[in-house]
Parts: sequence; C-alpha cells; structure tokens
Amino acid sequence: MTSAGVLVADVLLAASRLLPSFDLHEHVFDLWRGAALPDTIWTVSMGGLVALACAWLGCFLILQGQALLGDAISHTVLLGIVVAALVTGSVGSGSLLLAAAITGLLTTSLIEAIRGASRIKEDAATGIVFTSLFALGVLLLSTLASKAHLDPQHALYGMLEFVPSGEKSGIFGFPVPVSVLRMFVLCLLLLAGLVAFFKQLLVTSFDRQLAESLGMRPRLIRLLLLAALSLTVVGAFSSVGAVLVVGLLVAPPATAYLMTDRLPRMLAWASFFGVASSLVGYHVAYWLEVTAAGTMVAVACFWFTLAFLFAPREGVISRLFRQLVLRVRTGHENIARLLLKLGAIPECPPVSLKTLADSGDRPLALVTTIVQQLRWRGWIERVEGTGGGGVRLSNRGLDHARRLDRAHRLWEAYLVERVGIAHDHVHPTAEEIEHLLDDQLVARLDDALGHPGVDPHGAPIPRVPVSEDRPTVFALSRLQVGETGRLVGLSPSVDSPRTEPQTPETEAIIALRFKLGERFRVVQRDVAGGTWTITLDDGRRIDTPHVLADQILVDVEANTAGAAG
Amino acid sequence: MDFPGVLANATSSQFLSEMARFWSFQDGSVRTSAAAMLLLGVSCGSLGCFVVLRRLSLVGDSLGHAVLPGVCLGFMVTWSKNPLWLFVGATATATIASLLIGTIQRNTRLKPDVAMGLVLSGFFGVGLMLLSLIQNDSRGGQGGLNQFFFGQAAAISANDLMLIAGVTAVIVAGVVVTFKELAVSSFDEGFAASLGLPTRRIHYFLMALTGMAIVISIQAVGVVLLSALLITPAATALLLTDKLPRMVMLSVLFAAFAGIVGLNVSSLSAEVLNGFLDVVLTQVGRSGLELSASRMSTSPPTGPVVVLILAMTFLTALVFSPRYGVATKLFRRCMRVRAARAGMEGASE
Repeated sequence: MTSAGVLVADVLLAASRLLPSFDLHEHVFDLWRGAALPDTIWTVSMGGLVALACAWLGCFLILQGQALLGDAISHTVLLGIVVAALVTGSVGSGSLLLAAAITGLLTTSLIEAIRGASRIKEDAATGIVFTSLFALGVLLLSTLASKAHLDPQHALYGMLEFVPSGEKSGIFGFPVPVSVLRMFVLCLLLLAGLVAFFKQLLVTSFDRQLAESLGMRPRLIRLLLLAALSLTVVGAFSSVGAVLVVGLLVAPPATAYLMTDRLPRMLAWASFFGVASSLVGYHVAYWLEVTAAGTMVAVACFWFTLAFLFAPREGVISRLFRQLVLRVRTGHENIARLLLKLGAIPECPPVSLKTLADSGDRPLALVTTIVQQLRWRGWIERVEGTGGGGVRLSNRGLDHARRLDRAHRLWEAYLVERVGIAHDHVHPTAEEIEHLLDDQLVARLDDALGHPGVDPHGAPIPRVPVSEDRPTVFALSRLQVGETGRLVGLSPSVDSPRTEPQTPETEAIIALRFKLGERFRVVQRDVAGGTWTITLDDGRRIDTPHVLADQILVDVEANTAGAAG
Repeated sequence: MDFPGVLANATSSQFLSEMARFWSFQDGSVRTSAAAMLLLGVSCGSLGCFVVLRRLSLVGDSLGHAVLPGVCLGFMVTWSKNPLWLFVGATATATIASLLIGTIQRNTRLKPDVAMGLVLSGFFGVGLMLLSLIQNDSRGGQGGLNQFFFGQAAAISANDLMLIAGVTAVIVAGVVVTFKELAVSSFDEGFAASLGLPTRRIHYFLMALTGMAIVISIQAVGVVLLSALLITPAATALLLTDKLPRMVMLSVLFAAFAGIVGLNVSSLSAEVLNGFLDVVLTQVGRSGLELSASRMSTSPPTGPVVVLILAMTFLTALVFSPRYGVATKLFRRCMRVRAARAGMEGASE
C-alpha cells in the first residue's frame, strides 16, 4: 500500500514538474493587450459562442432525457462533414449545412430503424449507430485527408487554437474569422428560436402529454431541437471536436441543473458556466501549453465538481452542512426541553449540570458544551447558589422549550387520534419530528385536533399566547372545559391558520352581543361538531362555532394560569 | 465486381502475397496480434452480452474514454509504453470513473446518461491535456500515444499479449463462476433481488470485469470506438438467439471474427488498399465525384476497421436473422398471404 502511495506521489510529482510556473501577467493580462489581443478575442469568443449554443441546447437535452443523442450526433457529424466535403468539394458554409442535415437525419433515422425492426434497446442502438458511422467517417477521412483539411485526431479534440488564423471576412472593416461569424449567426438564430418557442419548449421538456393535449406538437418541437443540435455540432466541430462537444452539451447544463429548479435560471446559469469555461479554459491552456478545447471541457467539469459539492441546495457538502446544523439544533432543543421537564424555568430552582446529564442520559462533557452554547444564545441563565449553583431556562428559552413541547405533544395526539397508532408507540417519532415542525404547521395540527388541552398520555399541552407581551391572552378555542376568563377583544389575525377576516362571522360575533370585559365559563367543547359552549355571568348560554372561537380573545389571568407550564 | 481481377497486376500479386503472409501466421507479430484479437473477442464478446441486456451501453463508452488520462499517467511513470504501468494507470482511472458515475447518480437528480456523459467528457478532456503535456516534453514527443485513440493492433507486443491473456483468463473465470447470478440479474433485477442475490454487488462485479476488458482493448481498438466491441457483437447475437449461453457464444464468435478480419485489413499495406480505392473510385467516379486525388499514406487504424466489420455483421443479422430478421419477417408474411390466398381459392372452388 505504501509503495502504491509512493508511486502515486511520484507520478503526480512528475506531472507537476511538467507544469510551468503560473504568472498572472504573462498568462492572463498580457493576452488581453497588444498583438496577442485579436487571437485571444477570437479564440475566447469562438469557445464562448460554441459553449453558449451547446449550453442552451444541452438544457433541453438533459431535461428530455436525450443526452445520449447529443453524444451520438457529436460523433456522427464527422461522417456528415466528410461526405459533404466529398460532394461539394469544399468545407464552406453550404457544405456544413448539408453536413448537418446528413448527420441529424442519418443518425436519428438509423437509430429509429434499428429500434423499430428489432428488440435492440435505444442505448445499444445508439451505441451501434454512432460508433459505426464514426468509424466510417474516420476511414473516409484517412483516405481524404488532403481534400477535407481535417485529420482524424483533429476530429476528436478540435483545433480551437487555429480559429484566429482561419479564413477571415471583413465586417465594418474588421477582419472577423468566418467560423466565429458563422457561430455568432447560429447563436442569434438559436436565441430567436428560444424566445419564440420558449413556452412550447418548456412544456414539452417537462410534460410531453400536456404539450400534446395543448396542441403544441411536441414532435415538431423535438425535430426543431434536433435540427438545432445538428447545426450547432457541425458549427462547433472544427474548433472543439466530437468528444468535447459532448462535454459542452452536458457539463454546463448539468451544473446549472444543480443550481436551480427554474428553466430560465437554468439557461442563464448554463450560459454563465459555458462562457466561464471558455474564458478560464483558454488561459489555463495557454499557461500549461496544452490543448485549448480539452482544457475548456475539463474546466467545465471542474465547475460541475464545485456545484456538486457546494451548490446551495443540491451540493453534497451543503447538504452535510445542513444536516450538521440540524443535529446541533436538535441537541440544543433537547436540552431546553429537558430543562422544562425538570421544572428549571424562570423563578424556579435551577438544576445542576450533573442532574441534567444524568436525567437525559448524556455525557456530562456534551451537556456542558451545549449549555455553554445555549447561554450564548440566551436560552439559559446560570444561577449561583448552594452546591455550586445550576442552570435554568431564561424567558426566551422557556418560550422555545414550550413550543417544542407543544409540537411534540400535538404530534403524539395527532398520531393517536387521527392515524390510530397506540399511544405507547408514538413517542420516538415525536421526539424527532418536534425539531422539524414549524410554527405554522403546529398551528394547523392544533386546529385540526380542536385545540386539545392534554396529550394522549394525559400531560398538558402548553398553549401559546396571542402575543409575547400579553402572556395570559389566548383565543377562546384554546380554553378547556371549566376554565373561566374575561372577553378582551376580537382579532381575525390570531395565531391560527384561518386568518382571513370573514365578514359574515364578524357580524355573527356582534350578534352574540358580547361585551368587552364580560366574564364567562367554558361548559362544553364539541370538537367534532366544531362548537364551543360558554355561559356568561348573567346565565346566558352561547354556542360559538370553532372558527369564531379562534378569533375571540380572552384573558385567563384572573383564574389559575391555565394549563400552561 | 471481381476486385483482384481489375486490380493492376502488380497490386494484385502484392495483395495475394500479403494475404498469404497474414493467414499463414508465419510472422511472429501477426501471430501475437491475432491471438490478442481472439482473446479480446472472448472477453469483450462475453461481457458485452450482459452490458447490452442491462442497458448499460453507455458505460462502455464512458469507461473507454475515461482510461485516456490513466494511460497518459501510466506512460509518465517510465516515459515508455510499459504495458504494466499503462494497465495500472488505465485501471485506476476506469475505477475512479465508474465510482464517480455512481456517486453522481446517488447524490444528484441527474439521470444516468448525464452522469456518464459528464465523466466521459471530463476524463477525456483531462486526458487530452495530459497528452499535450507529454507531447510538449522532449521525452514524450515520440511516445506514439496517439495510436490509443483509434488503436493499432499490429503494435501489440508479446508482453502486451501476456497481460491480455492473463486478464482474459480472469474475466472468463469470473463469467463462468457467476454465470447464473449474472444471467438472472441481467434479465430481471427485481426477481434476482427477491431470490436473495446481492444485485448491487453483482453489478459492481460486472462493472469491474468490463473495466478490465476495456483496459486491455485500448491498444487494439482505441479509446474512442471501444464501446462498439462490447455492444455490437452482443446486439448481433441478440438478434439471432433467445438463449443466453448461445448468445454469449455467438457474441464471442462475432467479436473474434471482426477482430481478426479487421486486423487483416489494417495490416494490408497502403499500396494494396489504394489499389482497391482506385477500383472503387473509378466505378463511382462516373457519377461525377472527383476523388481521384485521394490516397492513403499509411495503413488504416484497426479500431474503425473492426467497428465497420462489426457493423456489417450486425446489419446482415438485422436483415437476415432466421427468426427476427427484417427480410425474414417480410418473406414469412408473403408466404402467409400466399397461403391464405391459396386457401381462399381452395375454398371458393
């Protein structure tokens, strides 16, 4: 094993000795001034234009599951170009158009023919067709090298470096390489097509049946896409070569797919990564004195690696980091809830770290660390006293702990009442999900269960007051049978999922003829029927619908502080 | 057309003597390369069946391209084409590539074909960079690594052959020992899993064997067209039979046949091939194509020739397969129509 390590080190060392030292001025800035400027501009813009066209098409290929077709066509294009050169005797624009037509038609129709006529599956059919046509192209080329100005290896990795020295034509007095001009026109056409057919492309890529039913003719769209692909690959061929076109078709769109869920953004990201590959690839290739096209694709795959690791949502490292954050949060929240269970809340006697560790069955060191972190967060306060003192929840910590406890118990109640799971089986899942439920979800659970006062084990479920500065004010629906309170107001925006002000019900409240400050007692809660019944001090008995009870604010201060705590 | 007949006399006799020299196997290098092609036919042909049945065709292609950087690194160890180091390097990058494909598939929502396309082009791009580094170096300029693109079977040395033979033995042993598991899981992965077979491990085992087969084939057919040696013979065999053992046998047969005939064609000298070309061109030339200037300067690379021969066998099978051939089906339909017509006439009488 060590000898293998030494060997790897040796090889890497040998490789690194081949690397020239990097100089920012020599390898980057100097390329953008003086005599080197035109070469740089034409090479980078050719690479960038090819990358742009490939990125746009690649997005749709990937979404439609057709990446393999891109691979096939980028190989078979060699045959198209050779045959076109044979027939027209040149490698001009007309011959390239012909090449694109031959390539696209021949490849797809052969694949379809093999699939239709036999039980060979699409992947094998594609593999057979493109290797055969490519082989034919290579053989033809090796006999016609002098005529087509190409050679087989050139066909593999292209000659991006030769773009500036290629045939030029004057545009507004500037000599512009014809290949760049051609690719520029193609990009404009693609952009126009993209804008014109954006809706159709979008629907076809994500839901073919829907596209069909909307009369969008997905077959036609796919045919257009195929035509665009053939044209792009042909245009890119001489500068980037067959295999590397695949890289530009796949890598930037795949990178973009890891960055976003939305097609327009995906197109934008793919364009960005494509152009960045051209720019960075050119400089790296110049620095290492290696093939520009190969470097460009390697750089494109490097962007993919970065996105694979660090993309905000999909990245592997990002996901690990999120898991870590969740784990830390879970640890914090568990200790807070444990303190609540032990009764170490404000104004009450604190508990020592030892007790905390023992009752939670956690190592003391871990508990000490978490307590320290919770003190920074202001959830816990330290109380000096006899026996070394201890810790207890602060008001803020208490609020968090209650919310957790509430989520835990409501989830248990939900599992028992609605899902029908035995009450002694619900604790473990509640232990995990309490950290994941957000306030709104908990409010919905609470509402759906009819704002229960106790969980399936008979323990009280903490209530959340309407606002933090009025800790004794709740919605009427939160009160249990036998509780008394004073009516203090009416709010359509109580912490309840049904918050829209509902005019008919607001009128109904007025019809109930409550008076502010009036005292009442809850005498009956019919959760299934959705009715809360209260009696007022003067003996009137009023039935309140659930929705209404969610909006009536009551103060329970005058009585026992309710089930809270 | 009777090609030798129309060939100029000098070319004709040269053609005959070159053919005789090849098929008599007197020449040591011809024997070596032919034996190598036979062995490659055995390993690629047999593994290809499982690759095709499992719809993993693109795997061959991406692993094929992925060995290029490994070959370059292996070359850099000794700055010569030492078969062992090339093998080690190629195996290393092929392994890394297949692990990467798996990692990308497991950790993203990208489809398998995208993952393979990424690995294929990324590794090939890096391979090309390394290759130009080597060619810039004074020690590597004449290394002849270029022949790894399209293959040069004639350059297979006795050492290469030893390696190929060893690896082929491992592959054959692997396939024979695990044949039943490979067969069941290739046809129905779910069923295999329900039988308690370790399908995941079988998959990786097959991948490892395929990787080895690819690594030993690069010298002969080159990295670019490697996948054809895996897919095409197996697909041809699939057109001819329903039985897996027979399919493997046929596939091996086709692969070895194409390999040796391809070797034969690419070993012919440029003069003979140009002679053939002249004949073809004078025939087609009448249709207005001016091609007479075309000439081969060297013998063609082996890879494309082998692939074209494989394509021809595939095409033949596609059309004339006794059971599934296009022509056969047409013929059968004609017979049925005729029989039905005869029956109707018989009934009307």
